[in-house]
Amino acid sequence: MSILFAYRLPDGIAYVGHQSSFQFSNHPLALSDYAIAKMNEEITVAATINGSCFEILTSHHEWFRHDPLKPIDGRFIVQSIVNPFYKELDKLKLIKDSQMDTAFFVVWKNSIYLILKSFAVIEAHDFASLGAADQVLFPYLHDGPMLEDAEKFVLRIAKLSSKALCANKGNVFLYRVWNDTFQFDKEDDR
Amino acid sequence: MIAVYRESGVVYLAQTGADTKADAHSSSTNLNPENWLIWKIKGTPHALGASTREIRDADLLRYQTLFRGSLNMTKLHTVIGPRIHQLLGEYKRLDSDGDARSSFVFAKDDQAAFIQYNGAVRMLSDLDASDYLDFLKGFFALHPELPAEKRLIKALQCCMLEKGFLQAPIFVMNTKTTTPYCVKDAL
Repeated sequence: MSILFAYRLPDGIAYVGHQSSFQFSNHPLALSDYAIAKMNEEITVAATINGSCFEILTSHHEWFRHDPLKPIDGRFIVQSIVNPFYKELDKLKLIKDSQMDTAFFVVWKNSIYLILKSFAVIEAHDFASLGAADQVLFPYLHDGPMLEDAEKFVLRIAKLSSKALCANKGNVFLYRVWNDTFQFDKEDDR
Repeated sequence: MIAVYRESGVVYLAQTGADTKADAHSSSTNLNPENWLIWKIKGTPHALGASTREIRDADLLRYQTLFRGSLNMTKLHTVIGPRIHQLLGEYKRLDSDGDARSSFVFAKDDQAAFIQYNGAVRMLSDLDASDYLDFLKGFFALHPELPAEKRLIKALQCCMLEKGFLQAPIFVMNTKTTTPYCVKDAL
């Protein structure tokens, strides 16, 4: 399990995730260890799990090239990214029951798009999350950005949801897309 | 569920948000028409499209200029239907029998038609629906005093209550203005 959701905070958008495969005393340094990748100066991508599909999408930087004078919209996400990505996965036989093994978040400036496992695209307003995480997060999400310390709040609900979903240690992290920094919350801190 | 009504040369489409993935997200996400299963057809004035089930099917079609000019049976059979079949087939959205997972509605000016899962086409009568048409007709008959759009929304709300839909918004468009409109918390 890696990225749980993307959330609009007062200063910009952050990815919030859960990581059980490493100890926080030995943080991996590469963004890809967190299933996050910068595709260019403006677009970042994050996956709900780090695997083949993540590797393939993030190795095709050409799909993310866009006219800097035009805003990125649903048409761009579907036609320039999702459709060629589908064809590549299909060629490699990585699609089972019409689904890939992970969902993706795409963040451009202040916009959040969610590419579901079925390749459907959702343009989110305030947040995008795993379907299962919605059940846990939904009651908490609406008021989150209103709180004084939104980051602490988001990390707390990420712990709640990762515990509920994974039933193991709830080490969580927050990656601030706008300034390329991490915030960690160790299991021991709870 | 999508309900369609024609009155005075205008076709009204109303869709329950319970059909869409957007409904599982925040209410503000629901307000973004890009997430709805009804859309304005690009490059063709006063034309709308809708998908009854799968948002991926809608994604594949909503950015296409599927037809120009008027909507008629010949065009549905020779242009629109084959184009949909080709697009869905290209992305393996058809089952082993060649059937789609969604049915589709297209409307232009005062004409509208359903393209069924198996590609069969039917031009719409004045009132039609993707599901529960009998219920819709019954509820629609209850409020003849209401203007067309409100009457359709009211009938769809009653269908949602009767059939136990989750609380969800209703998305509405018509071929005259093609402006997306959302009735929040419709129940």
